[in-house]
Amino acid sequence: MNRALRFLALAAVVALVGAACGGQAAPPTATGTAPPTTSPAPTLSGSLLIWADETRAPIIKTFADQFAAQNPGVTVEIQQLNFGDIRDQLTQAGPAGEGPDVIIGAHDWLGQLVTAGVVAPIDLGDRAEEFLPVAIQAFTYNGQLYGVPYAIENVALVRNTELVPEPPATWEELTQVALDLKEKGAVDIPLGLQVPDPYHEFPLFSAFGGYVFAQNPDGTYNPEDLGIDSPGGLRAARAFREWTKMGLINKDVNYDVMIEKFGTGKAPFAITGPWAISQPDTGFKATGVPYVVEPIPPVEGGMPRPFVGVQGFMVSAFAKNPLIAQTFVVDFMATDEAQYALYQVGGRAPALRSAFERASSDPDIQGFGQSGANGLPMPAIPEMASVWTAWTDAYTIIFSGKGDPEKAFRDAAEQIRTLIAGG
Amino acid sequence: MSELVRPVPVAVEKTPPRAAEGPRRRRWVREVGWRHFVALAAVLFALYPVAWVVTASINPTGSLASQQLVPTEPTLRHYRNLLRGEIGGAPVPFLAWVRNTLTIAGVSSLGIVFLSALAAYPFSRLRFRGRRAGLLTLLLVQIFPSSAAAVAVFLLLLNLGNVFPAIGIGEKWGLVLVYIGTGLGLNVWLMKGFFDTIPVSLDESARVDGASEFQIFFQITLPLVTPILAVVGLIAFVGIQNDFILPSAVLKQPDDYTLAVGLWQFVSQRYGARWGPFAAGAMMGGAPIVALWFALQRYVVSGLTQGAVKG
Amino acid sequence: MGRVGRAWPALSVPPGLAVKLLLLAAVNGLALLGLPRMVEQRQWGLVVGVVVATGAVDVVYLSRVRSLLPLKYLIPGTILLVLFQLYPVLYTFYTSFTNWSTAHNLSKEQAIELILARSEAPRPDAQRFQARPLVDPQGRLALLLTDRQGRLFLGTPNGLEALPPAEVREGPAGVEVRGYHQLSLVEAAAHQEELLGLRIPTAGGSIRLNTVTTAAVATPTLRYDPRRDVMVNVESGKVYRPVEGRFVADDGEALFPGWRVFVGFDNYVKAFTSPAIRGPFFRAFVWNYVFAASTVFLQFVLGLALAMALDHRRLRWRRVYRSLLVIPYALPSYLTSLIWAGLLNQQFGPVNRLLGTNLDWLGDPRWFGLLPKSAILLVTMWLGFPYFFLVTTGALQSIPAEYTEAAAVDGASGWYAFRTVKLPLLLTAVAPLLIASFAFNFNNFNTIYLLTRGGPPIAGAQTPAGHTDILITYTYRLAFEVGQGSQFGFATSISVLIFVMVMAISMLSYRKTKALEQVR
Repeated sequence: MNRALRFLALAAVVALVGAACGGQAAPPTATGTAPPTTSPAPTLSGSLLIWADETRAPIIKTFADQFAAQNPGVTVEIQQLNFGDIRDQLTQAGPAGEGPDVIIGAHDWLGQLVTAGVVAPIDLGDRAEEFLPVAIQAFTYNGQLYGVPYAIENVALVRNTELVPEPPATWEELTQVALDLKEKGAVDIPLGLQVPDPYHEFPLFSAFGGYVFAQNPDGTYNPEDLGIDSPGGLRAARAFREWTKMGLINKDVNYDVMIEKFGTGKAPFAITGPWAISQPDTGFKATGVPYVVEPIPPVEGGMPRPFVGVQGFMVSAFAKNPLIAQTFVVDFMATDEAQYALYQVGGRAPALRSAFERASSDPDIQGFGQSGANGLPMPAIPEMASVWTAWTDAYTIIFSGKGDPEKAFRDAAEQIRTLIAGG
Repeated sequence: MSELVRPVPVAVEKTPPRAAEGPRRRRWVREVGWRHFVALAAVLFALYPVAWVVTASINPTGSLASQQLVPTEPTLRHYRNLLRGEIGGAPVPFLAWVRNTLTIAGVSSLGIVFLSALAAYPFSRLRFRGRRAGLLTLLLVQIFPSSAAAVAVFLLLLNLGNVFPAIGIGEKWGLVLVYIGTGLGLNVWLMKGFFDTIPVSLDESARVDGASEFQIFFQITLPLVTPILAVVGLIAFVGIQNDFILPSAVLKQPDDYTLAVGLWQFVSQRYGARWGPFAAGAMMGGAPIVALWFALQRYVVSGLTQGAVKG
Repeated sequence: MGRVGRAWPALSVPPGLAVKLLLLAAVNGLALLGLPRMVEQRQWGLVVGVVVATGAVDVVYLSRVRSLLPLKYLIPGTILLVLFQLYPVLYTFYTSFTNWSTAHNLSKEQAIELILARSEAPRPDAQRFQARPLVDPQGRLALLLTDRQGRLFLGTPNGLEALPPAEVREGPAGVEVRGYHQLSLVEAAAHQEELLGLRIPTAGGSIRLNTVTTAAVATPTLRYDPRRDVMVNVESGKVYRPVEGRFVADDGEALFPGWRVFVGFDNYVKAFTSPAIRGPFFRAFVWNYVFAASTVFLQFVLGLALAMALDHRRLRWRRVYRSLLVIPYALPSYLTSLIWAGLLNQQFGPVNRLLGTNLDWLGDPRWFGLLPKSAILLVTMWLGFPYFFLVTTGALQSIPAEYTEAAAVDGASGWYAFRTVKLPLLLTAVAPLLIASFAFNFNNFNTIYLLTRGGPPIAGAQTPAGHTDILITYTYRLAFEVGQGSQFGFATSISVLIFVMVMAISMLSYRKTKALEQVR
């Protein structure tokens, strides 16, 4: 009895003292109840949260600041995330109410983002015609547009102009030149092609008529028709093994080796994208190696068709300020200045026609553009996720020089069909 | 307690007779010399890959595929850029990252050391219902794969932050609490193991002298396990310093990043990783740990602790 | 403390108690501060948690019941442990019984809202307008619309009304028309719920705002019937019923996105019955066990051996040696794993040059990938031996010297004394660490992934699998990489299964070492 009383008294005192020390309680945070229409205008503030990567965040920030300056009361905050993390973080943070209003991202994320329900449709209306058609097509999913594209990227042939002054007319000629240079000891590797990597191998694969998914007449992909083990695909498998045996392709060349060797003049050719040119420290611009970007020459008469990727702005389906977000991406980032500025930091061709034309005086953009003109949009359908690993494994086997190359592709195709069926 | 007094070992090795030079050398080799050999071999094994980290950090291109241990044009540019806080015109608040890391890892590891010692004590010294179950639970939650738990922690901090903004998403104090919470289980076990090796007779005599339970804990037991406290603290510190999954989910502003998150930015792009600044930052981040360990050894490996037992 | 306290005069408070009361006051105060906000946000779980925790703290520290004494030591740690370690574990268990995945990522309310919103997106050929949002002094909202021909309209919930250009006056803060004035972007944002909800009926649908400056005609194609809990196609009348977290029509057509539902043991059933998982499972499990056990063994033995070799008072530079040996541990393993991958590259890596060999360290598929497996063990040993070096260095110091000296006095040889006296003591102390390290390495996704990505591939496997795949790399690939999106529910069920396995293995080996019996 006595003890219990003492305890209660102490507890009460303690609680009161604590509460007093804590100062006055903070005002309750406003919940999501909408003010009635007839109320006087509530406190004027609209804030926009944008997720962008390290490369583009500073540029987007300058435009965001302009946007805020033109619209007093609007604040814009940029959070810097790794490009590759943005997709998954949005998927988790968005529905929890902790996500951004706007993200930058790649079009081949759409399958997942739309399925997950975390991005909102965007209506460009007539302005869609101001963009390169491939960019709009890439960001269209199930007939709806989900992004304002700002950049287009694909791989091309990069040639060391000192080692090889004239562009080879065919892949066969390129092979000859490259192997001769290697023979003479002028270079460490004849070709900077990172392996095993189906994305980088795709132009050569497609030159034989190989395809991943067949395209419907409207340009969309048909997940039922997988073409890795199509006749063209199998011809490609044999050719890759042949090139491995000749020493043109080397299983030990990964991205790091490729960029190091070409960047220091120890490789005459590389098949790579704009990132290898513009990357700080290691990129070809930074190392000062003499290079030119051009389309990959025809392989046994077939045209190499690289995958084309498109990057753009997307609006979160859980944006706290959807109206401002939509306005920002459509009215502010679909402009000539914004798209040109993003090209300058990222080195990718702008998606807006006018900015693209301004940028095409850049020989690199021309080269990548010509290469991408033959390209195919990277499939954004969710089934594409089932392709990469199995296909990479098949390439590993082919480049190892052991085992039947055709069987490797056939096995991969079987694996992929199993995975797609298993969902 | 006289039986606890250890013999004085130094007396043996004083003034060796000159005539016994040969046997003495042989004895030196047998007792000490081989240890140098083992240590050198181990250091070579430990440092060979580290040498290549150094190479990447002084290579102007920062390539990981470099084939020379000494690059053709070594440069300290990456170090300088980080310390200056700017790379190619973009701000890189490296020193803020270091500060945040020291704060978060420092406070968390102190918390872990203190709270796990506190919790280990009753498990070792007191008998109570649920003790065995408690110990087993501690071990089991530790075995659980943590990869799946990050989402739960994120949601938890989100909700807590709505109530107590100081420990929510984007704040380092929430992170500190998480680290303490997740760092306890194993260390409680570890410390309990060492508390167990301390004779209970010490507590009892202290109790007879009128010490309270807390006094016994703070003044008798803790000093005796200083080495393991230091080691637990150091290990916790390193683990937290190098963790990036949790802080990258929680911390949102570049100025709030820890070293691991900040440096991760350089190499997270699929193509275009910048190994130069990453390696330089990692070297600079690792140096304090090595220095701390160098300094801590005084407490870990000296005879001070045994001295207390003699009392 | 109690005994001392009684000696004090009745009204004054001993300093220890004062500190205690102050700390308790702070805890209770924080709880009291937080409670109103928690109630307001309807976070009942937090409310219960905070009340229980605070109550427990008060009871434990204010009561003098002797049996609560252990809790005085335990409760601060317990609260944090329950919150940040136990709760996530329970949450993971819970997740493993749901269908949470990319396609089932939302709550049902969110999913319904999104499905409806998407069904109302304007078609590419829809009629479009330039728009300016307006408000009148009563706070009624309207839109000033300009069509492609430049004709002006006033759009209100009642409909569209043509405006003669003369009625529209450009003011300093935007246009003014019929008593309405233009909303700035910020004002529009403040009213965005109503603005986005504003529908202006017109021929062929209704006009709605897209951005603050554009609007388009659109018609929703779907309608939600809350009474029957179905989605209905407005035109065709097709009905979509909720099935396992999605609206599905009778012909099998499903609407996206779906939502998260409880699916019972489905994920576990899938884990056991899916041929994709069963295939290489046993193989991965055996290597997984060998990998984790050998890694812990190698790390521990090397760490302990070095700790003992350097534990000699006449060894000079031992502090330097000890400091250099922890460097592998002080660098982020993300970096050092990749450095190792580069070092072990067959043609361009320095290791082959150093040894004069030409081995495909990480890619040789012969003998079930024996070489890559060995290389992985070498690297994990390198990554982890400093940890055990640190622990055993500390441990060797903390074991009271009198134990070994007693053995030495008995005339035992050094090795014998070590094996019979020090090692058992040491093992008792570090056994939990060995178990935790085993558990960690059993799930050491990062190292495997950074070194080989599980490769080299097993030729002809049913699903992509590699010789060095451990269970977690193999199953996470199935859950996150090769499927359509991320399957969190499935992945967590795998985590739980692995947990059960590791627990069984650990408990068995722990029993065997009799360490549990030594819990005094």
